[in-house]
Amino acid sequence: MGTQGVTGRPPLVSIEHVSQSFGSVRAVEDVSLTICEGEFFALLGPSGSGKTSLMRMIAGFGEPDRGRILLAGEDVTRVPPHKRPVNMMFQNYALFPHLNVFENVAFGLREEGVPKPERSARVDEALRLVQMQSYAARRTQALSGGQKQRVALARAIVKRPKLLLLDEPLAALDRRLREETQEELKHLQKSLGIAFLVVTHDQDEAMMMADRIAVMSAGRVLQIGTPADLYERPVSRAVARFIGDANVIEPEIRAHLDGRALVAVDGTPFEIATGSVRDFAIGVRPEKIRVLEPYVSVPGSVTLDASVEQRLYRGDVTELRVRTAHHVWRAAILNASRRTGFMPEPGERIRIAFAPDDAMVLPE
Amino acid sequence: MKIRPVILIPFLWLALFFLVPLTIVVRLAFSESAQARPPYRPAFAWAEGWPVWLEKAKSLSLGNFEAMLEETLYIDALLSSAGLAANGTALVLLIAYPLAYAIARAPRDRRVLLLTLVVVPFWTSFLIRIYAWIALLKPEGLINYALKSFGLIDAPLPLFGNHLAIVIGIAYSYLPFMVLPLYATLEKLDWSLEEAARDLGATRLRAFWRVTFPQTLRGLIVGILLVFVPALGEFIIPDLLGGSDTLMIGKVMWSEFFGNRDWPMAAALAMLLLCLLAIPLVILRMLEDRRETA
Repeated sequence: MGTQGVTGRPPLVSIEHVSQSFGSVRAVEDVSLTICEGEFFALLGPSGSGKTSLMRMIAGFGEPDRGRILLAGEDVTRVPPHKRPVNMMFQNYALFPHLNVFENVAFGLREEGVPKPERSARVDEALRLVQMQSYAARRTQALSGGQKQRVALARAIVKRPKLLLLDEPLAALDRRLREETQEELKHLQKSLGIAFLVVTHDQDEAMMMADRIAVMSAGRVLQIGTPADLYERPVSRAVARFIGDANVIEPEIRAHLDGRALVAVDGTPFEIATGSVRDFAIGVRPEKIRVLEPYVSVPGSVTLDASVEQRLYRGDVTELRVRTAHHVWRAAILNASRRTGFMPEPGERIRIAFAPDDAMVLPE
Repeated sequence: MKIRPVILIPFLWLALFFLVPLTIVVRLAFSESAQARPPYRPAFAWAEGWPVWLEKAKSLSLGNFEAMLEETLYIDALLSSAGLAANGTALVLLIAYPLAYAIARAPRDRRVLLLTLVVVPFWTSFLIRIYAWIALLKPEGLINYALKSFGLIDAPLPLFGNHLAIVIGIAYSYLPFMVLPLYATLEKLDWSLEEAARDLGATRLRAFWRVTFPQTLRGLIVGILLVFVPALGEFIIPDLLGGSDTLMIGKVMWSEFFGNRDWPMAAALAMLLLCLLAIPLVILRMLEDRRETA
């Protein structure tokens, strides 16, 4: 699933059954995916998930052991990095310390043999796009982290690549600047029309910026989809946990009938739609769990007796860790509803409830 | 500012083993040679004291320096030394740069071993190693013997007793002085910069030339100075490998001092060399000041 691109856009990059190992370490295992023209695509995963190795292979640093990489229909698997119509923004920005801002941005155009007047016009244009035109003559060491990031971005887009690779583009920035830059990157991507591939370990970053996300773990792609797909319809326990931190519960599966299953959690039975899936876990988002006073019950919901173990105030929500007969759950109460809602103390006996429709079926 | 006693130790060391000998050499250089023991008539006597020294300084004998400029032997020796030292330095550079680059890019745990291997030969006496080169280079030496055995040459190659032998000797002897500063510079470089250059359309070679090489200029200049300066005044290598007709300033000084027993002339030559060698150091200093203010 997910190897088809967004409808209506032609594919730009096709990764076909690519694997790569370093010694005995299998960094990337049989990965296939398609990035479309003009798409903002994110590779999301924890460190060591193979996302950076995969990006480097697209840039031409490191060849796959198996599989092939197509760029605009052309097999570039063995093409050296300097001949690929792809540019990369490195995680540490990799600005050349012996060159000033202008010379850094002009580097790629000079290698390409772009004549001087055009070169200088294009550098000015790129610096203007990232609002760094007044820094052209500065030395790169004298710039702040955010300014370095902008120069690196200008240097990567000035050659007008078909695909821009961004390796953890915001990791080195502080939080406020990161949020601003997320929006700017997204805006820049839309106005340039270049496809962006971002590697990140930060799910919020991926969700905010990307049109589609590939979630990676241990060298494999777990799921590819839009942020909403991944959040609302995760296919696996790992994706449900990684995106939005769902409660993943192994229910007792009692019966299957006509694409539905009768399951029980802590002895409380309910029915859910499962399609053809026979073996699965369920995932419930913390914000989909209602926290109730004991003895209250909600018709049509799965209601469980619980006790509060921990209460964490997080600003917008208050997070509860609660224990039922056989499971531990995380529930989130919106602090905006606090005045009217129920807010139990740690140790208190309560009830939790969720609608069967809010239980996501996780086959993998 | 309080000066700590520990800092005094190097100052005392320099005063004792640099300033004092330098003073003696300066005094010698302005003296006249004589049939005496020691073989010169001192320009300044230690007992005369400051007022007399100052008076004498106004009418100093510059005879030795005038003779140096008149006698082409000294200028020729200096030029030929500079040529040989420059060729030797160039050869060192050609070998040392790739070597330092390869070591800096080797896996971290192997770098110390490789660096040690560069330095290990220097645990043997310098003199013995230069003698060993005689055995390698002479007409019936190992290299010519091997080439003949393989039928590659009929007559032995002229490797010994000429300028080539001196250049080889310099290249061999001073290799670590170039490798170490270059390695120190290369080791600190961020290799992702080369990748960034390749990503922007540069071949491996172009990436090296436009990104890595300019960043190693400092280590390169330090290495060149560390090799060129001592190679210029080298005495043992030309004496053992160079044969009788090679002219190097170190050898000339040696023969003035021990052969002609003209101590003042030898001292004057030593001062000239010192002044000439100070020039590149001053230039380097100025370049660095400019870089810091830039």
